Amino acid sequence: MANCKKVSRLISDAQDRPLKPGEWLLVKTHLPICSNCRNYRNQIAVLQEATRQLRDGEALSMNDDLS
Amino acid sequence: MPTALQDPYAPDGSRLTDATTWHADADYLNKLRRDLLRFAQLQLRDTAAAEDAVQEALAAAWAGEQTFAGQSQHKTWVFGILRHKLIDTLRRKQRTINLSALGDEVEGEEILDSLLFDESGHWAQHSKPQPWPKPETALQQKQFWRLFEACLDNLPEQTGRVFMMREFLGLETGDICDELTVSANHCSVLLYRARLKLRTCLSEKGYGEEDCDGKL
Ligand SMILES: [Zn+2]
Repeated sequence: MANCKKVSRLISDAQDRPLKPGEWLLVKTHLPICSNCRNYRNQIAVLQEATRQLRDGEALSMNDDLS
Repeated sequence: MPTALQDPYAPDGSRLTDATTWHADADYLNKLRRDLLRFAQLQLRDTAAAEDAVQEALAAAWAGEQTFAGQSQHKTWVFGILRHKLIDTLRRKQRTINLSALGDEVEGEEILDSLLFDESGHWAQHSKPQPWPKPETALQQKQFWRLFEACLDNLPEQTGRVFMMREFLGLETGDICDELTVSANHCSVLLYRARLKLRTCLSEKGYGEEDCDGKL
């Protein structure tokens, strides 16, 4: 039985390992009916892109007036 | 992507492959050092160790210790060298990690669940994820980076370290688990917590809300 707690964990796991078919099924059947988890998934994607930019030194120059 | 840093060299960095001119450009070097330092401090949370790592990375770049491939931006290349230095530093520090403290951190995090989800496992009323601005525009906003760095600093130390090792230093989860001698499940729980906390922190600090200083 898929719920948001389980699905949000699987969406995180998917960034670190391939999901099993059964796990994919849970995520794929849940997302169309849950806008909260869709928003969460998009936020996780933003975090991933942000870390990539920080990692490659693309982001930091924009913090010139940080301090 | 707008950047304050104008690379004075060809985009593919080809002129740098055998030249040693970049470190003679004081302006470029200052900005590079500052950005490297901020990144290292985020990872290590230790100013002295961060300065050491940056110094080593710059020295290695200067000495051509690692071959500059030429097709990547020079700055990205130096960041790659720094990542290797940071991994070395973290591995040395790892030996002093208090593993029971790592366990405690996860135990304490169970409380997070009850705050974010209701008994049936659905998002609690106050914690329902709201849409954020699209990355391609929002990522260019300074406010995002300020909040993002603040939220990274807010992560509990060990959770933050696992997240950094995975996302910033690019280590595989298997390697991270091995180094910390924790189970794969434990590792993925820590990464899940880190991501949950980051997105919750950003939302709580107002990212994505229309009244967020009007900047987003
Ligand atoms: Zn859901």
